[in-house]
Formats: sequence, structure tokens, C-alpha cells
Amino acid sequence: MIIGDAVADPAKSTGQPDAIAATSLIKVFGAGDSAFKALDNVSINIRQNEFFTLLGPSGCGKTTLLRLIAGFEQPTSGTILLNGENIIDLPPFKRPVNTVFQNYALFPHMTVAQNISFGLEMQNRPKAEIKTNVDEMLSLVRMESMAGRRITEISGGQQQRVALARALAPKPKLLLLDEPLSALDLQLRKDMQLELKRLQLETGITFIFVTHDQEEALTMSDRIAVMDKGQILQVGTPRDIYDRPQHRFVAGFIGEINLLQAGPSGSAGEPGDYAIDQTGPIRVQDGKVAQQGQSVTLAIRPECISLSLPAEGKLPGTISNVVYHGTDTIYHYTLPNGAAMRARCQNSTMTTLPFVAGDAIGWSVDPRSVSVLEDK
Amino acid sequence: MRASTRPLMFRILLIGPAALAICIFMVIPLMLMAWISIQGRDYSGGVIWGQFSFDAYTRLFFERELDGTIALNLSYFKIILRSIWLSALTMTISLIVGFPVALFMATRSQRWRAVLIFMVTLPFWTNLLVRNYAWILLLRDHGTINNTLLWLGVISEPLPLLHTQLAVAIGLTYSFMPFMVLPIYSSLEKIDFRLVEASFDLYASRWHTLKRVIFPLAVPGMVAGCILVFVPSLGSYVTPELLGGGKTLMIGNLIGLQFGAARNWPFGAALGLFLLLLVMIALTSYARSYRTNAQVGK
Repeated sequence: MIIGDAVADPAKSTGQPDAIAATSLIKVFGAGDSAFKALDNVSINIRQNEFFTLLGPSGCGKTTLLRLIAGFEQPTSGTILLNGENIIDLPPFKRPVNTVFQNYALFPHMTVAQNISFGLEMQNRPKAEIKTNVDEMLSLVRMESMAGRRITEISGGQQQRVALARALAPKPKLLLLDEPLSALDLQLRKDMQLELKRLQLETGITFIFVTHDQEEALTMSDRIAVMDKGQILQVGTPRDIYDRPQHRFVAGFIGEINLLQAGPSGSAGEPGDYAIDQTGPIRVQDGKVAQQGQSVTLAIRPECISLSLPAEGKLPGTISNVVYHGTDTIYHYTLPNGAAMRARCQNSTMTTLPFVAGDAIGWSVDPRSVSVLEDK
Repeated sequence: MRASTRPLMFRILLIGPAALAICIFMVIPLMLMAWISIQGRDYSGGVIWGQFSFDAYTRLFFERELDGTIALNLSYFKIILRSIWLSALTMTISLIVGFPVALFMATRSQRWRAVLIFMVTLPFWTNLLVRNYAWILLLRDHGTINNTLLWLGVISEPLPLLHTQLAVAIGLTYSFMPFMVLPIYSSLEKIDFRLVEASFDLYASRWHTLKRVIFPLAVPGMVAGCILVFVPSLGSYVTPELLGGGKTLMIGNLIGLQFGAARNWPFGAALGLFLLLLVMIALTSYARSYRTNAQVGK
């Protein structure tokens, strides 16, 4: 499938060519029976100075896409334009693109400073320029005091920074980051997330960031592409992806979500109204018009549901379990048709709900908070 | 801490077998050799036990003239120098030829690597003597190489290939090449291929990647390979004997001669100890240069 960004957001086009414009990329590994389609007709446009994230489970093709852009793999078919220029035939060492590898891939026989200057030396920059540039990079990642250390003598978080400095030093047009934070512990990861965002703003370089961590993707990205089974399912801002998932997979992969089978509410309902079997009508405002006889999946975030005592205009349900989480409480409840639901309510003292398992409740949701999913 | 609290007898029992093996197979033969080298020479072979003499050591560099004066004699020294030169040459050729072979092997698929390792070690399945005879057939005046060149019209007379230093160098390189290839292969195989990708990513061409990333990381393998080729070359006997034709003596042949036809056991033993000294100097200088490299380069 093709997702055109020009269609999704025409207001943002600036006349500058996209940092990356990839068209109809197909990558097949192996041949015959063992052939594996890692990328299945992927097209994507990444804008200048964007923090763009490829998000998906392992094996979804996100790393393959990154490796095609870096030049480590050749696509089976398709084209990649970097700032409007075709780079398909260029070997990796001729592409103005640098990579931060998942395991950092720092040269173990060189010092921190030697690692950072490697790319500059290979570009035959003048010695004085290399010196200033390396110093600049060392201070950018706050590693000035470590310049002479060997790679084996510094910690994982420090290695991470050196890997970043090494990739940023040649001032690439595009920086590729392949799950660079996955090896770090939680606190360090949070620090590095902020650090990465700061570096991206300071350098103005386009970042393409690969991760399987949805929270990381939501907090850092300007836009996210969610991938599964070699395809891009949805591209959008973190808000778009979270609030308006278009696929069952996207909805389920990012955050918790309730999925409900529903059908049009028949003649009585207005356009955009659906009915949940044995439960009642639900109003949905997402720009799509319900088709007669069509069955759809509705996606509702647990935090968008409000609970109350059973009342007129509320949908019915029965509490099955209450789980206290500190800042909030998760109420598990079932609908008359047996569907299991979750509602997340903040534990501010004013609105504490006294429900226990077995209580009958009423629930409602803002029509704007319900997404109608394409069944996929 | 715990080991020291064990009873003494128990510790001696544990160390015993290893200590005994070292004693029987290393210490005693070496002591015997050192002892023989300072004994008097029995002209019919063997030594005169108890008659001390340092003649064997003076013979390395000097000879006694008929009138009893002692004059400098460098003919043995030349053989020693030639041995070092030929071994160094063998080591260098093995390194230059062996590195690409090892690199080729290390970059193949897992299945191919096993086949290639097997092929590299295949010559070991045949006797060294037989393999050196095979080189005689190739190198002699009407051997395969000369006949082919004559037939092609490149040369009009056979090239004198056999019984030259070149022949010895070729034979030694052929014999010890696997000892160079295998250690280099094992250090190349351990290199994380992502480092190579990182190098490409940072604008290094294939040549620069080889020079700046692969080569430095293969240094331990190259050092091991050089030692494993240089040391046995220095003491080789069969190859210079057959391919050098008695004209290109190496230190190993000289030692063999002393215990055989020349019947000068003390001198043979002294030469043996001198060879040992050479090897130890070579090894310690390697170890030292490697350590300094490790400190400076890393």
C-alpha cells in the first residue's frame, strides 16, 4: 500500500525535496521456497529536519528499510531519493548518510577521539578542521574528559554517546538510528531520549529512528510510521497514531485499547452511529459514514471511557475486576454480549469511584474518541 | 586463599603429573644438551664425560689454525645468518600470501569455511619428506616448471631452480603456510562484521576499511602466525637438505651434521643451544613490540 504524505498533510510541503523519498521498495531475502519478503512495496516520504520513527515488532522490516537507506543492502526493486537524488547505485561509503548501530559497532582498537575522527579522516578533511570538529562533538555529547579513553574502558551509556558523536561528526544529511537505546537501562534510556531530541534540534539533521518501543516512539518523534510484516500501515504524528489508529494492528501495538465489534445502528440512527450487539447505540465522530450491513471494529482507549451509575443514555456493563495502579485505577468490565472492556480512571480524590466487582455500571465515551478501524 | 589451606601433600600430588612431564620432556633433555656442549669431544662420536671444554662455543666464531693461533672464522656464522634470512623470507612470503587467503576464508559462508579449512590442512595428511620430493620433481632442470617454460619458448635453457636459496624458501613457505593462515583466519573470523559496515558507513573505501579496521584487528593472528612460521623454519632440516642440495645449509642441517658425519657432539649441542637462544630473542622481541603496540595503538 502507498501512503502519500502530500495527501495526508499538504500544508507542510515547502518546495524543498524530501530528505528521503522511497518508492515501491521491495526486498526479498533468499530464493525459492526459503524466500522471505522483508519489505513488501513500501513507499515513504521523510521531510527535512524531521525526527521520523519506524515503529514495529521485530521482523517487521524496519531495520531492513534502514539498511536499504544506508546502502548495506540493495532493494530487489524500487527507488530511494535522498534530497531528490537517486542513491540506489551508490555504495554506503559514498552516501551522505551515517548510522548509529544497535550495538554501537565502535572500533575497539581506537580511542574515543579516534573513533569520532574516523569519518572525518576518511573524507580527507584538513587536520585542523578534524581537531575542532572532534572537540565540538565531544562537548556536544559531554564526553570531553573521555577523549583518550579506549572503547573498552567506558560504560554502555558513554559508548552510546560516542557512537552518536561518531555518526554526527561528518555532518551527514541524514542520521539513521537502529534501536540505539535498546541496550541501556530504563533511567539511562530516558536521559538519552531527551539527549537525542536535543541533538536533533541543535544539529538540524534529519533523524530516522528505528524502535520497537512504542513509548519511545511517541515521546520523541515528529512523525511515526508503524510497520508490520514488511508493510507500512500508518504514517502520522504521535497524536494521529495514538488517537486515530486506522488498523487493528496499529491500535493494538501502541498503548492499551478496547476493540469492539459493531454494526450500523439501522434506520433510527444518524450517519456515524453504530450499535453494539445487545448493548446499545454508540455515537462515533470520525469522518466516516457507516455502510448498511457493514461490520466494523471500534477502538476506544481505556482512558477515554467515563464510568458512572447505570443511567438513561449510558451503555450498560458489569464490573468484573478492579486493579489499583497508584496514579490510576483500571476497571475491568463486561458488556451484556460478553465483550471484555477496560476503563482507566485517574485517582484524584474528588472522582474516586466506589465500584467493586459485580456492580452494574453505566459507561460513555466522547464520540471523537472512538476510531473506526479497517479490518486488517 | 582456599588453595593455600590445603595440605601440602595434596598440592604436590595435584602438581606432580604436570611437573613430572615437564621435567622428563623439557628440563632433563635441555640440561643434558647444555652439559654435553661443555664436555670434551670424542673423535669417534659421543663425548668424553668429565673433561670440560668451551671449544664448542669458540668454534661458533673462531677456528684454531694448525700452528695453534686462533683466527676469526665466520663460515658457521654465515650459515646462522642464512637461516635467519631464509626464515624471515619464509615468514614474510607466508604473511603476504596467507593474509588474503585467510581473509577470503573468513568471509565465506559457514559451510564453505569448513571445506576451506579442510583444504588448508590437507597437506598435513602426507609426509613432509614426500611433499618435499614432490617439489624436487617440480623444480629440477627437467621438471614440470622448466619443461613448461621451455615448451612455451619463454626460456631456451632450463633455469637453475633446484638447490638454490629460492628453492629452500619456496619449500619452507609451502610447508609452513597453514601455520600462518589458520591463526590469521581465527582472528579475522572473530571480527564483528558490523565494524566493517560502520567503516563503510563512515566513508571508508574497501581499501581503507582493510587498512584501518580489519588489519589492526587481525594483528594478534598475524603475530601468532609469524611466530609459528619463523620458529620451525629456523630449525628446519628436511627442506634445506632436499631442496638446498647440501649447498644451502641451514642451522638445522649443521646440527645434524655434527651429530652425524662430523662426530662433534659438543659443537652440535652448542649450536642447538645457540638456536634456542635465537628463538628466545625473536619471541621476546615479538612479545615486547606487541605489548608496546597494544599500549600505543589501542
